[in-house]
Amino acid sequence: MTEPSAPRAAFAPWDRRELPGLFGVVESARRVGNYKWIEMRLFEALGGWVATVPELDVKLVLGRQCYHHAWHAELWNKRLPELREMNTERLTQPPNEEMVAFVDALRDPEAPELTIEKLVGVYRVLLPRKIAAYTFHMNATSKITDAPTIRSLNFILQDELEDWREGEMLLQSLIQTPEQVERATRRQQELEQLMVGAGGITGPGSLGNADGTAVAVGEATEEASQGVGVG
Amino acid sequence: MARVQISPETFTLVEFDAGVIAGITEELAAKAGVPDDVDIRIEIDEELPLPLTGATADVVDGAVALWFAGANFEDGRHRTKFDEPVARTELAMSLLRAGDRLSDRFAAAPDDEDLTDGQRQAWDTFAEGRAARLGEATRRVRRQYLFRLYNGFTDVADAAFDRLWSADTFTWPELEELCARCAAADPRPQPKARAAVRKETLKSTG
Amino acid sequence: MKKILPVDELARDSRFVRARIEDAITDPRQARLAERNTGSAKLEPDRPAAGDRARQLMHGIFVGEIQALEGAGRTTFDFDDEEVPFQLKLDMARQCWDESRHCEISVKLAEHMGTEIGEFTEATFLYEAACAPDPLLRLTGVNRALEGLAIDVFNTMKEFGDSSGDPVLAACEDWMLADEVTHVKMGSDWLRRLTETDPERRERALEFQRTVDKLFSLGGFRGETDENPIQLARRFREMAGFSSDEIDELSEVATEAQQEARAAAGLAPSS
Repeated sequence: MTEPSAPRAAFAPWDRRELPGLFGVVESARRVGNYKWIEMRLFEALGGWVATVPELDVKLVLGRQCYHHAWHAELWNKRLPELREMNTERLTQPPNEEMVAFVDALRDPEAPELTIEKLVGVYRVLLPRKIAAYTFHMNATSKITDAPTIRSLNFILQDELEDWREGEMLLQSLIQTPEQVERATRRQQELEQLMVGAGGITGPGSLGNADGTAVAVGEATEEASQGVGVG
Repeated sequence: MARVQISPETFTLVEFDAGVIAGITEELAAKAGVPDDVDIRIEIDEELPLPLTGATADVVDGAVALWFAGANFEDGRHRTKFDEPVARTELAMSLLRAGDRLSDRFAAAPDDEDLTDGQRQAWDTFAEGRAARLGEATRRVRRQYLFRLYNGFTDVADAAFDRLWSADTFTWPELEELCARCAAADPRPQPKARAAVRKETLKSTG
Repeated sequence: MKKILPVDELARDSRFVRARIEDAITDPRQARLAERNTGSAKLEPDRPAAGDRARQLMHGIFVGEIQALEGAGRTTFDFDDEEVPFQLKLDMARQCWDESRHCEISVKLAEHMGTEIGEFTEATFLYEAACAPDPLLRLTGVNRALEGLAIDVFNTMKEFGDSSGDPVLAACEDWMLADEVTHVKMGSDWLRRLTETDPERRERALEFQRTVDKLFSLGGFRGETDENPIQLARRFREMAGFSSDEIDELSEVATEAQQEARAAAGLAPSS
C-alpha cells in the first residue's frame, strides 16, 4: 500500500533532464520555421514526382512519404504559435537564398528516366541533412523548456530515419551499372555543393558552432541567444 | 470437308483468323487425345468482347462442338486483337473436356449448359491443370479465384481445387461428389440452379 | 519540374498499355451487344462471366488509384502557397498516402483474383480531370467527381465481395470505401470554404463537376438501373457531403449519358 501523503521529488531518480539548453524561444522558432519550409518543399516535390516516375514501387513510396513530410510541416506549423510566432508565415522561410537554390536544383528533374537523380537528391543529400539538423536540435535544446519541440522531433526523426532507409534501399536496387553509379555520384556532388553553400537545413550553425553556440554566425542577437545556458 | 470447321470463316468485328485458329486446334486436338476421326466444329461469337468470356464443349452427333465468346481469344491489352497463348489454352481446355465427354468417364455428364457453375468450374480446373502439363500457358491463380467464386472460399474448396488441378484422370461421378462436398462446406446460401454459360444472355439467340 | 503535367506524360513501365475511352464507346461490338438480351449488367456472382468482369473491374480500379495518387500528388506541387491554403495542401498529401495504399491493396487484390498488372488496358480519363489549372476546378474534378465515382465503384465491388462470399475482397473494398468517403467530404468541405463569398465561382466549379460526372458515367456504366454495372452509392455519397438533390441530379446526368451513348450507337432509348 502506498502512503499518499509521503513527499516525493518532482523528478524521479532516473530522470536526469536539466534546464540548460542552447536555444532561446526566438532561435527555436526560427529553426522550426526553416523546418516547416523545407518539409513543405519536400512534400510538394515528392507529390509532383509521383506522376513522373515509371517504377511502380518508387511511385507508391513517394506517395506514402509525401504525407509523412506534410505531417511534419503540420507539426511545425502548430509549434510556431506556441513559440510566440502568431503569424506562422513570417517564419516559414528558407534560411537563405542558397537554400532556395538547393531546393530548386533538388526539384528540377522531371523526365521519367531520371528517377535516380530524383531519389539521390532526397535520400543521399536532403534527408541526411534533415536528420542531422533535427538531431542537433534535440540534443542542444533544453529538455525541459523545449519539450514540445523535442516530442515532435522524436516523431519526425523516426519517420525520417525509416524513410531514409527505404529510399536508400530503392536507390541501391536502381543503381546497377557503373554508369548509374557515376550518375548518382555526380548528382550527389552537385547537390551537396549547394547544401554546403546553404550551411545546412537552418543555415550556418545548423549543427552548432565550434564555439559551442547554436545561433547562426553573425546573426546572434540578444533575444536569439537569450536561452543560452539557461534553457 | 476439313476435320476442323470454324464459324464464322471470316471475322469482321475482331482481328481473328479462322485459318490460324483451325491450325492451332488441329495441333492441340492431337495433344489432347481427341481421336483423328472425330470432327471438330468451333463457333466463335465475335460480338462478345472482354470481359464477357464464356465457352462450352459438348459432343453432338459424334462430333466435338465447341462454342467460345470472342473474349476468350482477345488480347486484354489490345482491343479486338487475337491473343495466341490465351487462345491456345482456351482451345486446349475445351478439347480436353470434349475428350472427356468422348470417354466413358464422363458419359453421364450433362451438357455444358446444364452444369452448375460449381461443376463447370471444377471441370475447367481439371482441364486447365492438364493443359498446363501439356505445356500451355495457364493461369492457376485466376482459375482458383473462379473456382472459389462458385465452390466457396473455404479450405475444403481449396483442397478440392488442388486435387482437380493436379489430377490426370477423373470421372464425372467423382467430380460431382467433390462439388457436393464443397457446397456442404460453403457457408453461403445455395446458388440458384442455373447453367454456367447462359444461352439467353451470352449466347446469341438470333 | 514544370507545373501541370499533361496526361500523355504520365510515367508508366512497359506493362501498361493505354486505351482511349472513345475506343470502347466506338467499338462496333458494343452496339451489337446492346441489341442483345444480355440481362442485368449489375456485377453479381450469378451473372455470366462474373469472375472475369470482376477481375477487369479490379484492374480498372488499380489503374484508377494510380491516377488518383498522381492527381493528388500534382495538386500538392502545382499550386504555390499563395494559390491554395496550407491545410488544403496537407489534405492532398494525406490523399496521396491513401491512394498509394489503395494501389497496394489493389495490387494484392489483383493477385488474389489471378490478374497480372497490365493484363487489361489503362484509360487515363481519371487523371485528365486532375489537370485543371484552377485549384477549385481540380478539387471538384478530383475530390467530388473522381472520388465520388470511386465511392460508387468500391461499394459495388464490396457488395460483389459480400454476395460471392469473398472475405478478402469485401474487407479490402470496405476499407477503401471509408477512405474515399473521407476524400469526397474533403472536397465538399473545401468547395464550401473556398467559395463562401463567391457564389459565381462555386457555380462554375459545380458546372465543371457536372461535365466530369457525365464523362465518368461512361455512357451508362454508372447509374441506378439494372443496365448499369456500377451503381450510384447514395448512402455513402450522403455521408461524404452530397445533398439528395445533388445525387438526384447525378442520377439524371448518368441517365442522360446512357441515352446519348445509345443514340450514338443507333439504338432506341432504354426505358
